[in-house]
Amino acid sequence: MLVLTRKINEKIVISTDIVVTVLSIDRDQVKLGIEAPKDISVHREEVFEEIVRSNREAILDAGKRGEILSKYLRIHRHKGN
Amino acid sequence: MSEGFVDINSLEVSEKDIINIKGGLIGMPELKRFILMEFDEDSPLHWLQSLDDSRIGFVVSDPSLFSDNYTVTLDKRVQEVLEIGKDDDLVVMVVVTVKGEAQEITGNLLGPIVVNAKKRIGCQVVLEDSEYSTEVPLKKMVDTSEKAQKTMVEIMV
Repeated sequence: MLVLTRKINEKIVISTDIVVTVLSIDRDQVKLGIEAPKDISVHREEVFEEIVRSNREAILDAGKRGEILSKYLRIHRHKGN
Repeated sequence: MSEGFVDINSLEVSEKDIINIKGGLIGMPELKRFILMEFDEDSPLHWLQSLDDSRIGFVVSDPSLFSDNYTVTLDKRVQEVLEIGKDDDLVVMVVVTVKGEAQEITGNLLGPIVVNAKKRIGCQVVLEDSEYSTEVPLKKMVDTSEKAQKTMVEIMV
């Protein structure tokens, strides 16, 4: 792991277009500002992991029923089209 | 046909049926192209079927099955990803999990899928600062006549 020491308002540049700024430090909390291109999504790790877990669970679980359900399914056409 | 599941090759899918989930589902970036399928006209549940992997599909629903006055806030990045224009309709879908013997149904209100229906672009959004969870139980009473169930989409400016 690369370890860098930064002060408030100092930045880290990742690749050419991701910039992380240390905005404030309060005891054990650090506030970071992240600028990144729109195709890069940035999430708190625990929130990200929770959604990945939930997505997997929904898919795994649905897979068991997919075959049974499939005969009742038809393509939904958007009314506006 | 691959084992079980929806036989995507037999479906007559036209380009405008496809929903392009930008960046894929969270944690599954390879799953980008989906079609929305319905069980029956009035069902609040739909099936989101991957066109990239026929084995992958899951149940989605209107958020009102899980929460009244559900509010989804879209930040600038997501607005750009969804290419939201003035006359575009946004559709909010909740990923549904049906668990265990008891068939307990929960909805992921923390990470809804928002779709620009006109442009067929979708994105799984993380409501970072919300109180919503990934496992919200089904509401006891589903009263579809109740107007208070409306889902709100807020555009952050």
